[in-house]
Amino acid sequence: MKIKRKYVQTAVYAIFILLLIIAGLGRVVSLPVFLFIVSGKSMLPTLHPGDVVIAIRGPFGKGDIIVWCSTPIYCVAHRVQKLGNGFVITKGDANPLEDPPIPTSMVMYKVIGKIPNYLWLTPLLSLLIYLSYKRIYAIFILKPKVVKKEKVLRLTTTVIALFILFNVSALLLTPLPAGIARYYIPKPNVELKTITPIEYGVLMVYNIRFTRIVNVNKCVTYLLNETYYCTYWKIRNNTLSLRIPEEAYQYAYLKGANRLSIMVNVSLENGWFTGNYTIPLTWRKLEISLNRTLIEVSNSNPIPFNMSVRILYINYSSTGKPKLVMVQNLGSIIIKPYSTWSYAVTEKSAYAYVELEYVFRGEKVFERKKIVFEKV
Amino acid sequence: MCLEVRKFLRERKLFSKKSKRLTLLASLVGLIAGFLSFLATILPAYEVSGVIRGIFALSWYYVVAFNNRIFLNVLDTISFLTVIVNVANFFVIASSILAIVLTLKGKENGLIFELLFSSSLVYIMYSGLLLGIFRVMSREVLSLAGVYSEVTSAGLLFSGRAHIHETLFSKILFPIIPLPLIVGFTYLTLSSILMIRYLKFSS
Repeated sequence: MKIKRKYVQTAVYAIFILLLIIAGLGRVVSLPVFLFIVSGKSMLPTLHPGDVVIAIRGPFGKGDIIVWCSTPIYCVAHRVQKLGNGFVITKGDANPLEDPPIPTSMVMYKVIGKIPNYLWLTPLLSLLIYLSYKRIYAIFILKPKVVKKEKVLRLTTTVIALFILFNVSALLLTPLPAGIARYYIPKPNVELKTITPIEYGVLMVYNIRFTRIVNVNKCVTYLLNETYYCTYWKIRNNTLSLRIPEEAYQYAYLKGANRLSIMVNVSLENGWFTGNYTIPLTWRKLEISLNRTLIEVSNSNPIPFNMSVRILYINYSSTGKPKLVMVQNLGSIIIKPYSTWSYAVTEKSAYAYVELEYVFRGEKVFERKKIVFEKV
Repeated sequence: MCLEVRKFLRERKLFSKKSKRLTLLASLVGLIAGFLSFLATILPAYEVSGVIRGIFALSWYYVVAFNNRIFLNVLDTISFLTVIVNVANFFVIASSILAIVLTLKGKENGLIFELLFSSSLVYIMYSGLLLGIFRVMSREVLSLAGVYSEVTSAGLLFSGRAHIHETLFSKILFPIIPLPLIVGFTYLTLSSILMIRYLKFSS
């Protein structure tokens, strides 16, 4: 019976040492099987602190939980989010942010199962408490008051040795990771995706994470020495559209500016951001088109243009020479920004010339279009 | 017969009233040390306010950053290591209670001195671990303080500030020379005196 008990004891010790070797050595060299005690809450609800993770060496894919070790003492069990060429991106199920990319060579194991903490921790602690109680009872109740000299300090040594072993094992199994708390904080982030000039303003699209745009506190346009405040803005999800006052464009046109600067101060759900952006200004000549007898003038600029229009009606004389019949002066017409002016020329002669004249960037622009009326 | 008498006298001297008082005192100090260390692990040491709100103790923490509850690897590991410290605390408290009960019941035993001495040594050893993990926690928590701003393609982004406040418990328990350590050394001194006396009188 005694021999049997000794065998059991030896077997228990052997298993315990083997498990410790697997757990300790497995961090340094890649073993076929690895045991890992979860110490964090980053994988909740899949893995709980105290769970023993059973991992094997082998291929892994997206969605698998892997164990990667940055140093022989620091290992992490997180889920694979992305697989790249030579790198892996993992994330704890409970973490809002992904881990920094790690080289594939750092991945040591793929998790295949777990032993929940209540299945091993509770029975182990109960057993330890029971054995301690039994031992203490035997020592203090049954033993003589004064022990023999050679047995003195035996208890002290045993207790200290046990606690040192316990301490070392625990520290080996749960090493402290490097302190990068700030990295794992889901900080609000705003990045400019696109900036596009639109009618009377500008459209800005942002990439926003962990926050949202609440309001525009300030929007100013700087042009040479002049300052103009935005007249209107609209927030839609990650998009911000701003309206720049017409005077700013007129001033820019007058001064021949090809760009203007916008400063926006935007309040976010958490904090604010201030951005300075430069927007190119493209000035375009008026587009004049003719559709049979309909003349159309389009202004794709943010400023109005003053244009004088004159129609010359011409007929052929009996000798076949052109003869001016009538001159129709439409006078000065204002072509509003981003608008089209059209005029249907009525048939009063064989053909007509429409003459348009306006000033573009300090130079006179003159255009003439010929309309030939169809003979009925 | 003569040997019996000598043994009886030696035991009488070893378990004298003075010795009994010293044992009780040592056990009481051990009990206080164990509880202090236990309290140091469960009472909040730091509070964070601002864009990061949280409360941090060695064995637990709760932190909300920008309205998201977050978990920090280092603090999780510290919580886990605190369990180990608390096992030692449990041992110190249990040893002290056992020593008090046995002494009060008049069931003195030389092994009580050994138990007190070993538990005081364990306490000192684990106080080192406790202070170590407290320092790591402090470093980690203090790193959360400050201004959260950065420059991105959108411009200068300011997300807010976080302020750290040391709690009263932390100020009391962890001054320049931590209180658990002071009590622990007192416990060690008293148990060492008892141990020396025991070694002197043991057969």
